[in-house]
Amino acid sequence: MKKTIQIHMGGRQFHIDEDAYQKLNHYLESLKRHFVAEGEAAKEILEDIEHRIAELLEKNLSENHQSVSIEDVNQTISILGKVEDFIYEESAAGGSIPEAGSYSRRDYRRLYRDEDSNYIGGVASGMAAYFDIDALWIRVAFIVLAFLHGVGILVYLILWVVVPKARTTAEKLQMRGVPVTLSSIRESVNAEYDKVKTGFSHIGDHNAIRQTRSAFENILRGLGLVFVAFFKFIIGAIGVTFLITGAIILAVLIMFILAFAGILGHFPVWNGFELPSLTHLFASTGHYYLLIIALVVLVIIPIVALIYWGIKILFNVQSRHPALRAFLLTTWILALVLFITVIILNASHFTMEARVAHTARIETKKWPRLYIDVQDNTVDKRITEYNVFDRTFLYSDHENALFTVPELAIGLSKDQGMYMGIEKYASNVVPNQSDEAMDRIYFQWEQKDSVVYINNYLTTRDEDFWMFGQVRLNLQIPEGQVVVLSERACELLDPDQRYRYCQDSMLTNKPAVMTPDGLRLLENQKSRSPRNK
Amino acid sequence: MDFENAKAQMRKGVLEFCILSILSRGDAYATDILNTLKESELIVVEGTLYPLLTRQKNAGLLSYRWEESTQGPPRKYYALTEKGSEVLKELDASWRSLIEAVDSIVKK
Repeated sequence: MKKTIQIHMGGRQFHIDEDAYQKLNHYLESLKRHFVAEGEAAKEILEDIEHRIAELLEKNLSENHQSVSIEDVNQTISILGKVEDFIYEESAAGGSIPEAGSYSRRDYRRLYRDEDSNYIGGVASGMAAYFDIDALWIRVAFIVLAFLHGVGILVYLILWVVVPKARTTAEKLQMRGVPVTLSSIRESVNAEYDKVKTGFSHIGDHNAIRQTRSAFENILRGLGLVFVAFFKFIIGAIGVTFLITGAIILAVLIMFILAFAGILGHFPVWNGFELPSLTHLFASTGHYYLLIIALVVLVIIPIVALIYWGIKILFNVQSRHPALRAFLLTTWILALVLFITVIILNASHFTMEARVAHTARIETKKWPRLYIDVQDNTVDKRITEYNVFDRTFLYSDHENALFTVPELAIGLSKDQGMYMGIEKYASNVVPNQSDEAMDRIYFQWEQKDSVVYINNYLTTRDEDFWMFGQVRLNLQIPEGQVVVLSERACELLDPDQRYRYCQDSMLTNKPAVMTPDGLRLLENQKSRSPRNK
Repeated sequence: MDFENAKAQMRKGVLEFCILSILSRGDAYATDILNTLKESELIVVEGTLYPLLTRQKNAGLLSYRWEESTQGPPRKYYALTEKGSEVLKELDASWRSLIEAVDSIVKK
């Protein structure tokens, strides 16, 4: 005797065989999952169906047949229909699914997130179902990718957002491809049978015509298939291209942003090209962070969209995020407006060139021979040389200061005094603030007895980068004054004078006298030096 | 061309109209409606009817009451609401004009 179970369903009592019970339970579970899509109404629908099941089961019971058997359950299920049958009927109305019986397993598959067997968002298990492999491999791949600058994490997050969760049974089936059910087999067999039947009915009277036509048809169909395959290949290729370019641009961009934001500090981007941590570099714009945020949003959104479309094309994903799309578009437009506003605001701020000059006297009376030398004001200041886009600058991370080489020019004094003219100039200065800007260009020189020391660098704060502050020194020497230029002083001279005075060490470290035509090597020195040797 | 699919689409389109029609002739419980629909081969599997009934009820086209039955537990009897009759009238009108339109083309 079989083991029976007593159940209460649809207001009726039943004795049911154990295997029948299992089958019924399984069926009800599948219905429950399927009707999840109906939301609140699901419970009511299930109750109604249970009522009907109970009614049908009861009809089969009689004096000799008092407990529900598996045959009864099977019969009931065939009357009410399986979930697959519902899907077919529902999708037929929607018309979005290819002809029954003719679709391939692959066509019908969609990428969903599988939250029934997930660890995080069900992305890996969903992909595993799509590719028909063990989820473990996908997970391993994500973890390996995660170590490559976090690419895996990024891809995972994007997929999490983009790929919808499989909610209904229909979607869960689509996730794995359409399983081979009795109904789908029946449909495909019927379709084939119909084809053959119509084929046979033409045989006989139209035999010859039929044959040629079918040959022609076959060629056409073959061409069609080739075309479809080609088209699918192109679509796939476009998807892959979108995905890869998007991902690469995104990765590079994130690196750049991190480098600029100073998070990565000295980040070697490529051969010899280094970006310093110049967080304050743009701060003089006053809108540095706004500008960066706008720029990031402007660039990131299209790239994410590119990846999104790539995934959609590749994996046949059904998008369920109209709100997200609207949000992204709005954000992008806002970022564009912000970007343009900041640019215009700042451009209007940076219209002025500023210049200031003053002259100081150099004491010459006590020292008939003056030495012009350079002192290094960078000692112990930890400065690094950076080369960005052909522009070399010296920067101290420690002091957030930029170091620039001043220019030196030697000229004839208009009177008997010797003077040091210091001319500071800068571009991109905010109007009405030129005095303050000039004060921020810091340069020093000093006279120690007979030596005039010039600092080899002027310094500006890094936030004044765009000012391109510069100092030009005009050393005015009276006629007849003897000076000695050190080697390093020579290096500061502008190219013309450097050629004229320091070529082949002509005047370097030698006494020279000022004449109306410029510096000349002292005459008696010339005759005396060979004798000294 | 897949004619089965076209047929299924047509069937589905008129199914809701037919449910309202059946109920306009008098209140009925789900099995009555099912039997009528199955006789005319409008539905293949019964399970598809229940979500439709619930949707129509939630849309305010139908109401239901529980009624004692001689053959078992109480049954859920559906009835057409006022809104349901109005919708039915509209559907009926558009159905007739559709038939005329199609006939005028097909029977030419």
